[in-house]
Order: sequence, then C-alpha cells, then structure tokens
Amino acid sequence: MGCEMKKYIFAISVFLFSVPGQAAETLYVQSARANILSGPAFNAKVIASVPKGSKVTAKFSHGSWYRIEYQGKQGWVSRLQVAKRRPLKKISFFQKFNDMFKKDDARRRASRVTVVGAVRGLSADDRARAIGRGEDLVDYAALQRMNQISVDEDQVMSFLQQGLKGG
Amino acid sequence: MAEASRKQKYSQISNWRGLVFAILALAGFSFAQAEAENFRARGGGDTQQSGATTISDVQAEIEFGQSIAARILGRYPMVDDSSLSGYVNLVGNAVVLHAGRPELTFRFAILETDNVNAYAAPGGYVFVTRGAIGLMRDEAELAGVLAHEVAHVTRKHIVNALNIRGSDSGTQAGLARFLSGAGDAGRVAFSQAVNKAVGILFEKGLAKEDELDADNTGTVYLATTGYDPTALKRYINRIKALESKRLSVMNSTHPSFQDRLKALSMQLASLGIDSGKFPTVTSRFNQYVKNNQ
Repeated sequence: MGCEMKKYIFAISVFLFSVPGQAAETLYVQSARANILSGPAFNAKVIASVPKGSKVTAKFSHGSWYRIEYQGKQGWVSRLQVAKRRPLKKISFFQKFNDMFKKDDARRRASRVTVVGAVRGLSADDRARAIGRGEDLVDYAALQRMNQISVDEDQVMSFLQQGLKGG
Repeated sequence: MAEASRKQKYSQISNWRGLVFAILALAGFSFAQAEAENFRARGGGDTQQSGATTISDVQAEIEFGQSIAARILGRYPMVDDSSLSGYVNLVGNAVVLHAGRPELTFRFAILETDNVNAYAAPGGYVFVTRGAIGLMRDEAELAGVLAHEVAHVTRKHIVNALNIRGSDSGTQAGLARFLSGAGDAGRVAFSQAVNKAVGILFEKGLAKEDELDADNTGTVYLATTGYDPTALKRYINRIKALESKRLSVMNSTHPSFQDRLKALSMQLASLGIDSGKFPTVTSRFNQYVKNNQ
C-alpha cells in the first residue's frame, strides 16, 4: 500500500472514530513520564517526553488516545496517562489500620473463624484444607509485613533504565 | 450533450460517494461514541480520575483492599525471600510509575503455591504465585502479569463490580461513607463487601470484559514502561497448554485463553506494536528467578 494511501486511510479513520469534544480540555500527566507521539500508535515518532503533572490541552479523543497540544507542539498521548485533575500525592492509611488491629478490634473479625495467630503456623496444605472446611483464614501479620515493603521512586527508575538498556 | 450527460453522471456518483461517506461517518461516530461510553462506564481512561474522587475515598479503598489482602494471605503463605520479593517489587513499581494512580502505594507479594495465578486487591495490593513466576521466561513477562493486576486496581474493577461508588455518586453507598459506616449495619456491610470481593477473586471471577480490559490496559502499561508489549500475550499463549489442575482457579475466574489471545492480538495491532524488537530483560530475570529455583 502506498504512503499516500496510508495517509488517506489514517485521516479517514481519525475522522470516523474520533469523538469530537465540546471544547479544548486541560489534562494533567499522571504517570512518571508520558511520551507525546506523532500519531495514535506506540510505534509513532516521539515528539516530546513530559513529566508527571505537566499540563496538556486535549483537542479531541480518538479511541484510547487524545490529540493534544503541549507547549505549542501537537501530538497524541494515551488516555491512560492523563486525567482531568492534578496528580494526587501519595495517600497512606496504615496508621489507622495498625492502630485498629493493635486494639484487637474484634468487631471486624466477628465473621472469621481463624485469624492471625492461628494462621501463621499453617502450611499451604493446612490452609487449603481449612478453606475446604469453609474456614475463613485471615493473616494480618503477613499483611503488616507486606505493608512494610517500600521502594524509592528514583531506585525504581534507575532499575528500569538499567534493565531496558541491557535488552 | 455527451458532455452534459457525463457531468450529470459524475455528479450522481459524487453524490452517492458523499452519501456513503456520510453514512460511514455517522456509523463510525456512533461506534466511537458507544465505545467511549462503554469505556467510561467501566471506569475507563482518564474519567476514572476525574476531580470527584476524594482523599477519603482513596483511604477507604486502601482500607478495603487491606482487608481483602489479609484474606488472600490467609489462603496462601507469603514467600519469605527478600531478594526475590525485592525484585518483584521493583518490576511491579516500574509498571506502576507508568500507570495512572500516583496516589496509591503498590506492594507486591509472592504466594507460596504451585497454582498459576495472580490477584489484586483495591488500594494497591498485588499478588503473584510462585507457580506463575516459575513459568515465566523473562522480566517483560513478569511485568506483563503484574501490569494486568495493576490494571485491575487502577480501573477499580472490584470496587465497580461490587457497585461501591465514590462520594461523587450522590448515592448512599459512597466508598468512604460505606466503609466507615457506624453501628452493626456498617460492620455487616463492610464484612459482606470483603466476602464478596474474596468470592470474586477465588471463585466467581470478574466480568469477562473487565479481564479483557485488564489485558489491554496491562499491555498499554508494558508499552509505556518500555518492556516488550507482547509479553503478556506470550505468557498466556504458553500457559494455555498446561495441565488443568494448576490452572483450575484461573480457568474458573478468567475468560478463555482463546478469547484473551484474540483480543490481545487486535489490541497490539491497533497500537502499532504487534511486531518489532523490544526489551525482554531476560538475563536479569534469570539472575533473580531462574538461578534461584
């Protein structure tokens, strides 16, 4: 298929499958970075890479993409990477949760047969048998260990870049 | 005369072309509108994060997710391997940084079972079984499975399946209000919601469209993170040939492999990433996973 023909089909498809917005809309980048692309596909040319919180103006949407403008540049961005509100800061809710279970709040456990202490010593097979008997196992100790997992954003980005560089 | 006839004929053809084009345009527009509405109805795209979601809703989502996570951890022990756990958390959070819910802290745990599956609880609690990891061939596949689960959280599939709406809904069932309900009624409602969510994860499964949506969204996350976007499809394609016992839970809670693969093929083609060379990060995966088995 010729290049001109491809362009023609692309233009028609954008027209057919685009949802015209009422007006330009302000959106904010939610992911660590978002690539602005020359077309609504990930194999399109990267025009710019913009950081979280950047403000872009959406002209219209096309499937899972927005046609946007950013600092005078026109391009496309995935709808999954932007939102109408500024990105929220991290929200933590562990203190209340930990306090709740320190108090051994029986009210939330009323429907459960086997909880934290009893579960801790059970093997996977024991647990499967208990579940099979209809017991309702809950492991708050493991949850607290999971809540303690912490990774730094810079560490994650460096880990990712290192991995991708290696292929 | 012949010239006039030609002109008239040309004009008719032109009119027909215009009509056909207009019909196609209308059909396309209707389709796009329906698709967009469907996308939004399932909590899709940017609209899930409109200004209406409040901090208390997010806190409620985390609290709700913690109660579900404790039940998942009650069913399967958590693997106690700091090196492997650290690795899975780095891969998972690499995906999370490129997803759209910066307000949530995601945590990833490995479950000690040969069953092949992964789970996600609202608020950012993601689980993958040792059996599932054992069948992966590279870091991109691990990222793909985690991305599918992260998508369940970012798209609020469980919360939507239980019909628990945010405080913007104007109903009496606002998430924050619902979960902090006072008195016996509030406690019963909370407990019932947790039971239902656990039932969805282990028995009933989410709606087929939510699972396909998680595949599609997870694939976009792979692409935006930089991993091989075909990785999730590769993994699903491999495990479909497994003996049924280890896949029993996944089979009962997910759409057929055939449906998932077909949808993923279409998704990859539409995103322009169905072919090409992309990073799989195999050597690092082998270092952390295969060499320690």
